[in-house]
Amino acid sequence: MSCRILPAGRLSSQSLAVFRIALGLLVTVDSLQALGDVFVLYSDEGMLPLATLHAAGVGSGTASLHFTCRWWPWNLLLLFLQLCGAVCLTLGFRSQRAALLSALLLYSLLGRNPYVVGLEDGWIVLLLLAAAFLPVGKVRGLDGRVWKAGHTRTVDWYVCLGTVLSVQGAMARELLLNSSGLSSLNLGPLGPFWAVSTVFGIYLLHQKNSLRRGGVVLLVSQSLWLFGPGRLFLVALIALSSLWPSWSGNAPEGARCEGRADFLGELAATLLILEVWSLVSLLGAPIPPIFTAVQGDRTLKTARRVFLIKPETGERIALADGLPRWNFRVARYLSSSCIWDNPSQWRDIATYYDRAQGVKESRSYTIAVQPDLTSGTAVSARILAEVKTRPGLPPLLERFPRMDRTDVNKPQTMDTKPGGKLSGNRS
Amino acid sequence: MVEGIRIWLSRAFGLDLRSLALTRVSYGLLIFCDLLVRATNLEAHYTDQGVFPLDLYNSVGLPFNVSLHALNGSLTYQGILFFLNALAAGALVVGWRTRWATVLCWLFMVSLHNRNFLLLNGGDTWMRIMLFWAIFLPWGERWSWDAGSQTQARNDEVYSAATAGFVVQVFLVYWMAGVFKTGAAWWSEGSAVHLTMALAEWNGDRAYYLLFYPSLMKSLTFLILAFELIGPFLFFSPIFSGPLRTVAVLGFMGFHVGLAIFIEIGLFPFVGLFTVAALLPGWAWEAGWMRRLAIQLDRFWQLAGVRRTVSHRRVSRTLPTSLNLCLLTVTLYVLYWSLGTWREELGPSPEIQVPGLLLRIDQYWGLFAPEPPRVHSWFVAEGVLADGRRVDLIRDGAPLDWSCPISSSIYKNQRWKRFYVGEASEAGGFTREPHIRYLFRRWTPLFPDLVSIELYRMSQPSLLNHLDAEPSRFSLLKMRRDEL
Repeated sequence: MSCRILPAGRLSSQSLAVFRIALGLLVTVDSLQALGDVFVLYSDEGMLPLATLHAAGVGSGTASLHFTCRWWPWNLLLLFLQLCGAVCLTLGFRSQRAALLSALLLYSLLGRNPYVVGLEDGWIVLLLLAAAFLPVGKVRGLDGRVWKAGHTRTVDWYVCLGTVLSVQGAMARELLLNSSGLSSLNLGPLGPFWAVSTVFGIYLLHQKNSLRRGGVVLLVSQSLWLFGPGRLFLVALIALSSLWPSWSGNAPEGARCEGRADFLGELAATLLILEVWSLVSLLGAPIPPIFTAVQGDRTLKTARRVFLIKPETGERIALADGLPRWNFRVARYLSSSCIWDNPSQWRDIATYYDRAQGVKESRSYTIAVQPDLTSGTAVSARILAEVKTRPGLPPLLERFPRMDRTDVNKPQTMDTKPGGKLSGNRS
Repeated sequence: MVEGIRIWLSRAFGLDLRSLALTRVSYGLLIFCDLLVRATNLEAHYTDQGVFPLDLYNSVGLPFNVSLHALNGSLTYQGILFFLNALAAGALVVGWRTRWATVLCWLFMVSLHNRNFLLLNGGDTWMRIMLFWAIFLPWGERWSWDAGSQTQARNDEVYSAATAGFVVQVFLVYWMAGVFKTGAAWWSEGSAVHLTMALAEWNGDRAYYLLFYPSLMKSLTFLILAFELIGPFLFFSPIFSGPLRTVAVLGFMGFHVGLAIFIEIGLFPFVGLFTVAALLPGWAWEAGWMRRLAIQLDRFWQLAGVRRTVSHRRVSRTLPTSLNLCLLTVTLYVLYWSLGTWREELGPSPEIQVPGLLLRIDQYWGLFAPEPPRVHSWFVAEGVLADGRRVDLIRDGAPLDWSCPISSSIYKNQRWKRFYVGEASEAGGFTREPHIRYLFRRWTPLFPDLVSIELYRMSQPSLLNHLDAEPSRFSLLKMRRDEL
């Protein structure tokens, strides 16, 4: 089986090091940014409390470590660990374990707020998983220096699995499906051309030296054309960097997979793995639904401007100006079409705005959205509803009433008069 | 003098490895049995299709609840966690990697308790806290896989901050339970046992017979109160420490056996029985049949084929000084917490409560205090069918019957009973709606024409003259099918 899915022949240690450092840096930057967003996007203090997420049924198919506790220090701790994992990966310190930890925690983070997940985020998880199976720390990393003598030899099937995850998983799936117009990106009449060139590019990746370089260049240019010069392209570039045959021009000295390249067999096996994975995920097992995430960008297409209107004064507040923190993820959250079907989420957004302004009492707002079209076409704002914010969180001292749990657990103390007072209506 | 104090401390706060091993095996079996009972309600109690879905869980309760069981609301995931938990319990029974098994059992227990705290009673709290202390105890040193075929320890006595914490915790449970009992039923009337036996929420099948012996119940009331107040001090006796501690342990064990016979309060009597057994001193193990039991158990482990060299995995008996200091701090913290349950102003402030709530060593031991309720309750879920028939969905769809049940064994199990009690209280009222939704889902296949469901709490004063008072009916919530 392992021989049938052998994709790459040889992987250069130098390329893997570049792949590791670039991926580590990307996840480090992402983690730092997420640390800044922890209140607004990833904790119960922000725009999406866990109760709302679960009530919307969005979190039911996933498993996130962020679900295990609602207290914001927990979210902060997990993000800090994610940052540590990413830094370790960048430095090449226990690279494979760091990659696995980062993959787990990043996947958890994506599950905590699926509305801000982009096409590239699922792909990054996939690449981290790939890194966990590849000897990415062998050169240009602390692993190579500190554990040089005791460095265990990586077995072939391990490397093969890593390579499959790294390259064929995302590239084949994404580019093939996109090119054939099955995914959200409809490429119109050029679709078949891109499909054929993707297949050809992946074929070239299985060759050696110059041909493989050609394949990488072809797929990089294709990604640039498809995705534009953004984060998605950057991730594609990082994924493909692991396959660059050799930086020095000599034969690669890195991890090696023996076996004859059998392109169609490998592609079929790869897609089979992906389909089985997706099927198991669909059956309810809480495993990372990677390819759902990779393709799950459909709802995030139309940018929206969100306004809160004070009923008493008619003052219109644009959230882009009113929120203390604004970045592409916050904008993405507010632009997600899913949340505009859920009044509870409107309420949470307005509540978060009030909290950010230091307002503690409950207030009413009219909430309105306006599509922010890049074509410049003016579209009027649509009023959704009037929402009443939740009262501001009480300070810490009042928030944890004493023994509120043991009140439930201890034996009932009741009014002992006949027909004593109980909660509920007496009939 | 100093040597005398040292000897007293080691006897008062020390434990015997054989007693600990007995408690370890019992705890493992108890966790396993508890999981089996809980597994019969897996969907109802722990999944999104049940009475406490994750969205509700995340909107009530304390934010520090750390629960692996809240990671996903599917039945598959909960089943996997239960299976892993059962494996950890099995490892605890045989003493395989005992410390890790104890850590895992504790983690799973905290997680499970946090996920649905409406199902818990004092027994659950007690076992959870004792498991925390057990992490630091060498309870895998005898009669375990870790200990190998070694049958004789050089010294079976252990003494550390962990053993001290363990003993202090057991002391607190009993003594605080006595201190909280300030009501007239315990002190002047002597009616506490009578009132407890009359409680329709907790009484067992045999409680009815005890009601025929009022003078015995009165004597038991005073005996229990006196023993809870005095008995715990016998653990620390400086003279005749072995015999007196044995008397106290046997006394409390008898008390728990009595509880198990007459009232149905879930794990509590069994947890008490097995926990207090850990305090049996070495003196007891040297006497008569206990010595023979120890020999038999040694032989059993030899026959079981555990003939391997004791490896480095063996649990270390001594703890590092830093850990001892930490555990000593935790012991003081627990004492401080208990003080707060007695007089709120003397206890920890909400910020200082946070570590206790995170580790789930929070506790309250006012059991049947200040006195048992003088009103007892039972629960009815009235289902109305389209043809006008009325059934009780709590009693498996039997025809509706408003009368007080003779015992609380009519409920499916202790967990459900605890849930009904919590649900009927003001603090647990948030589960009424999901409960009715669950009942509709559960019973619609059998009663497709189910029109509405109404939850009731029935209550009736417990009269000491054995007469039946008029019961009252309280509607908790009613929902029609079209409201779903």
